[in-house]
Amino acid sequence: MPSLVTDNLQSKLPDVTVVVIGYNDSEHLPVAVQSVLDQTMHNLEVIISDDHSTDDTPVVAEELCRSDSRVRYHRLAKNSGGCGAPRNQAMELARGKYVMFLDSDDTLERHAVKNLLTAAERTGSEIASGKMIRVFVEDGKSEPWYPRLYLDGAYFENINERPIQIHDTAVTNKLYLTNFFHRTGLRFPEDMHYEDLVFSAWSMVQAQGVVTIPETVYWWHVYPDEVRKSISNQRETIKNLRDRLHAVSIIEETYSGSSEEVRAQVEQKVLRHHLRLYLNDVLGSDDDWGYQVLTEIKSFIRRVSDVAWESVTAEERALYACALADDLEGVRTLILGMKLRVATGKYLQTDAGVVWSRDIIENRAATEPLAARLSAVDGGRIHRLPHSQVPYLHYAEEIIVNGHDFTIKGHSSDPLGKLSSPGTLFSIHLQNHSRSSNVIKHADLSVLPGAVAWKVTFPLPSRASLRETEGRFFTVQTTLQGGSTNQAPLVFADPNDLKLRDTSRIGAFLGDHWAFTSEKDKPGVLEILSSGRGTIFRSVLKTLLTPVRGLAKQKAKLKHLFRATGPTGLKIIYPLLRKRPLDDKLALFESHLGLSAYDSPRAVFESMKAQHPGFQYVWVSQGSHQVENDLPNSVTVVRRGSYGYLRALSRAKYLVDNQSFPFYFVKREKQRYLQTWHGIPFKRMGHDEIRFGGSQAAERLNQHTKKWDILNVPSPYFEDVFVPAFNYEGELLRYGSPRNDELLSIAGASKASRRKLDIPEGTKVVLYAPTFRENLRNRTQSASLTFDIEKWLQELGEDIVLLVRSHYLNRFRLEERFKGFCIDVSDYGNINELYAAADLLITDYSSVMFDYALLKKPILIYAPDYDQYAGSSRGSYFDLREENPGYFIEEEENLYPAVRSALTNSVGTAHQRFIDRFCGVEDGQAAARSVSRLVEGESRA
Amino acid sequence: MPKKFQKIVFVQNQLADLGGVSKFTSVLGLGLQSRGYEVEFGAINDSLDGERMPYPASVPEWTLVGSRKPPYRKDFTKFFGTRFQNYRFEKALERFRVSVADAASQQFSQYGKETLVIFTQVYARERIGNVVDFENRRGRFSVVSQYHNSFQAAKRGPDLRRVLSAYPNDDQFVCLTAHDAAEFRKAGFNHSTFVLNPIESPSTAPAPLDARIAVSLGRYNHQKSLGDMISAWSMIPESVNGWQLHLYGEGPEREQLESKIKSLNLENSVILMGQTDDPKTALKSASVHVQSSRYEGLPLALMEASIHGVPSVAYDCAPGIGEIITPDVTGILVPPGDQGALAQGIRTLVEDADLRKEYGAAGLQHIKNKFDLEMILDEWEDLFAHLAR
Repeated sequence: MPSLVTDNLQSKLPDVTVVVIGYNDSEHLPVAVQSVLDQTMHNLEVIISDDHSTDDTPVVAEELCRSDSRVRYHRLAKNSGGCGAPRNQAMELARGKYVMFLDSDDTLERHAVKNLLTAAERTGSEIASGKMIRVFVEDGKSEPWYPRLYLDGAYFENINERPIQIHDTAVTNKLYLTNFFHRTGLRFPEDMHYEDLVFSAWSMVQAQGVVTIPETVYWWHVYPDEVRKSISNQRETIKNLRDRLHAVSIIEETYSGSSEEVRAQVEQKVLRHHLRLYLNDVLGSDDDWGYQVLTEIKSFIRRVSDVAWESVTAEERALYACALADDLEGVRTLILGMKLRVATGKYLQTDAGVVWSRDIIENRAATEPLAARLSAVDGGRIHRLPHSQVPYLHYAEEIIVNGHDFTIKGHSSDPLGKLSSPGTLFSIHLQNHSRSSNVIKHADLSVLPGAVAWKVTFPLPSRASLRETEGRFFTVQTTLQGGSTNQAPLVFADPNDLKLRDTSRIGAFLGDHWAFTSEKDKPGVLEILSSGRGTIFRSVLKTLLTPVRGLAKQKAKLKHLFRATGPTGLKIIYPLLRKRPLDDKLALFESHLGLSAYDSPRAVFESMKAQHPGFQYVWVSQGSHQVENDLPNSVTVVRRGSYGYLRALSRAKYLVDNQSFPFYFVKREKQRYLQTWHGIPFKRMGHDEIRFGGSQAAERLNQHTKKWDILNVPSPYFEDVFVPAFNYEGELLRYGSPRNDELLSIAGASKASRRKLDIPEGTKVVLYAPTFRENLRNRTQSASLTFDIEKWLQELGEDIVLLVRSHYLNRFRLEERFKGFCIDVSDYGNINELYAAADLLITDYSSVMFDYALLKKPILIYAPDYDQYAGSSRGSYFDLREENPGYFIEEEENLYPAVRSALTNSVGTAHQRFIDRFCGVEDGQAAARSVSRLVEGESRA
Repeated sequence: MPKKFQKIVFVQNQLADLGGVSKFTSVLGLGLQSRGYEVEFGAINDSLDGERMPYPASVPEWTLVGSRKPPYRKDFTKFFGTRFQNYRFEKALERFRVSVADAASQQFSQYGKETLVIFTQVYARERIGNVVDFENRRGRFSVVSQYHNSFQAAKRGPDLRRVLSAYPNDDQFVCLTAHDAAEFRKAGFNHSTFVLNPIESPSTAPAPLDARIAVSLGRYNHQKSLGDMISAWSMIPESVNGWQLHLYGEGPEREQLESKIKSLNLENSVILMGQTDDPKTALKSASVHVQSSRYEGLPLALMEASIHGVPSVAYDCAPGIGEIITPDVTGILVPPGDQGALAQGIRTLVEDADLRKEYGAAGLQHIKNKFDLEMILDEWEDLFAHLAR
């Protein structure tokens, strides 16, 4: 074996020189240097370049040199005040083939140098760049810097091949070939601030080959004083702005020879980053300073190209329109909206299209042609939003405590003028997360220019028990006259820290307080604050109640043992309940396993309530508040699987359902069970379902079917198909579905339905209601549409409103950017109202087609996976390809022309054939008939 | 360039226990020794079930605690309740860990800059972790950590979390394939790379492929899902009968497999051969090799089948499988869990002797080229040079 040669390794030239610059930062310097010495890359050198520090940096640096021979120290002859000179001088001293720059208060990731070096060598690049992470020292949180640039590695010869890379203006996350500096003579400018921005632009334009790697290389430590940009020293800030604008001019000049796309990206960065930093500060500054900022940046706004204007949002354009027009308040209004992600100001309908303005009085931007053009927000989306989707700003500005009450004064943005229209209801809900406590206060609105003002007084909330310490939150609900509802949080303008004495008996005993806390521009919270006495009392109580560890576990066990669907509930309580006499005037309704308050059970319920007002009615809910909210207050709602549910299930004489009761349901002899079934089948069901598993499952199904006394039969087709599929032998109630009773009368109510959805008249409305996809079941991620909304908008324009109703078992999530063109109506209660609002229905295999067809409005069957679905997945009763209401589409590209055609033409003969062959025979009396058979049928039989 | 590393120390969980890692250790270790490195084989324990793989006598071995077993929770009596059981178990575990750490700090204190320690398994790295990190920070020996399974396999169990917390400060993380390295990089490992495992070429001629026998070399356990294989075998029609499926191995699922064979009336065609220490003979007696694992790294059985010229049908459950077998050129890959496709694959090879020979020969060539020991030793030496920079 040859002898060890580590000495040789050290004497040869280093591969990489890491330049660490610092000024009066001897505290962090050793950490930065150590992060280089700890690199998995060993053959490197560190040059500490000290900008003539006045602290003990020289001593610390000498110590570092002594501890590792790879460290060298260089001290500038006099302080330069910037980063340029220390870096330039160190570059002259560098012996490495490559150079990196590190700031004394940051650190390198352990494998950074090796990863960058390997990438640079592999590709022969002059620059290698990696991901930088901003670490907020105060709270330890971190966020990646421009992560979209570093998703995967990339290589480019020239910046024109990858224009987005201009957004990464840092120099510290990069490795530079030393020869690159020799070849180009590139150095940091020394006579200015923001020299790194300029250096970065110069190097990007001149480099022959740049490689990026997805690995993290640099930890950028953000210290608290950097976060707090001092507005106090405004003169300094203006100078700083001028320095930056100077740098921006040089950068624009540097990229002037690059492609149009690169220049557009550079301008986008100017709009989104360089100028915005100062505009953001205008929000809390005084007017003089604000106007000064606007004056300074105007020439930069005027020279932005059209391509760059296209790449920013309508609101950003409006912001610069205000800046050009010297509309400082307008700038502040928009900045506040962008900061809080809400819509502020006014979107005015003018002769020149939709224009953003601070208030309704005038459009100040019209004074300058460019400003006028930028303030037009036609291409944006906020002005199209229906009320339910508008991101309102509800801004609480003042809280007045008055004894046991507190009053909140504030205003709400009203960008589209909807809140100030007559008949709008405004209320604030003070509730806990579980909504077991909910105090609602209404307010009258007074109209201000560009906003509405309100004032609400709340009493202190009451508490259920001394253990209840849950916080309370404010939510604002606004309802337009037509019925369209919006919910949004209440945001507090100022930080608050109020203490209110809890006057409830428990609270007074414990000396508790309600503490109201809010941060600036955040939702506030009202929380219980325990006093010393209360804390002692609670801890004593807790100690007494917790004699052994693991009580929580035991509790969970007991809870399981004693819950309604546990052994105690089903084996002991439920049988006992069934021994009690039936209540002849009690009726139980369940729709879609307790997920809905509509469908046929609702129609039967309404009819039964009218005929038998003396009866008691119980509805079943799966646990969400949806069902409760959708029902009149007089109705008792029980939770499926609770003791209340068992009680109602065992005692109600009349049971109405559209799907099935749980497995443990035992029907009593005298109980009357009406099965209204939730749709006419297209796919195979019951015993016909191909994948039906085994004889046990079949037996279970028979057990369910046997309990039905009466079955609603909507059509002869249903009778032919459904009844044998379920081996049903009981009474058939021909023809019609209770839920469709109102269908023909509601068809004329299109206007009201649209108002409830806040869709403007004259808009075409398409309802998309796909069915349940087996392969998506039990998935945590949401289902996606089977077509691309982006493409839909491209093909069909933005004037059609798409209502999306996902199946209740496959929920779908609507992307923010599609709001306005697309409304998620999955939670909308009565689907008949959606039928009324729609001009066209698109579905695949859902039974909604059989109901909607009756309205004689066009239906488009869009079935991209028809063969798979109708063939292998579950199988169907007929071939939709052969028998359909007129439009059957399998390819996405055929969808759009078909939608256009369906929206302009009336329905054809195929539609009528479809109705005759499959759909319900409706006379509007199905519910009444069902009630009389249910209630009287037995006595006659 | 002169070598920086003179000594290479392999550390595994149990010295020379049966499995792919020991095979890798012995082949690579011997190879490096022949190239002039000092090689040591280390482990926390001796092989605890008593079975051990023959390691080359020329390589020095050590273990930290010998045959002292780590405590198992179930070994502690429940007599005084589970809390007392847990307490005693945790104390024993603590004692065990301390003695491992003590032995480790003594063992590792002798290694200097010229030493590279390769941890082949995550448990060993975890137990020795504190000692190694401490030493490493002082710039003493270098550390490479390995994960001998696919990223997918790591993700399905606790391994991913364990790997991510045990390995991040090591000089290099080495997994088996480029795909796995990319996945680990996405999961946050900035120092991922990959080197394939080598295989030795046998001195004997390849299998003649004329016996009517299909063979499996995998333990009778959940991972290998031999139940799937037996089901697949039962789907192959009577016409090709006369063929037998030989399952070599042992393990906890033996009884299940026995009853499955019985219930499918396959007693004559599916035979549980039990443990073998001579896979070469087993493979040479066969004409088709079948693997139905749920997850794998770079499975040795597939490589051994290929090197003996036996074509394989396998579940495509890891990127490593595709490294060994080129689908429809050197063997047949089917989607994991698809018993029908597995059956179809077996049937294709069983019915077509020419295809078998074609795949077998191509597979032998492929594996010789790609997993050649000398080539892989070169890759490791390149990695050593990279580490030394």
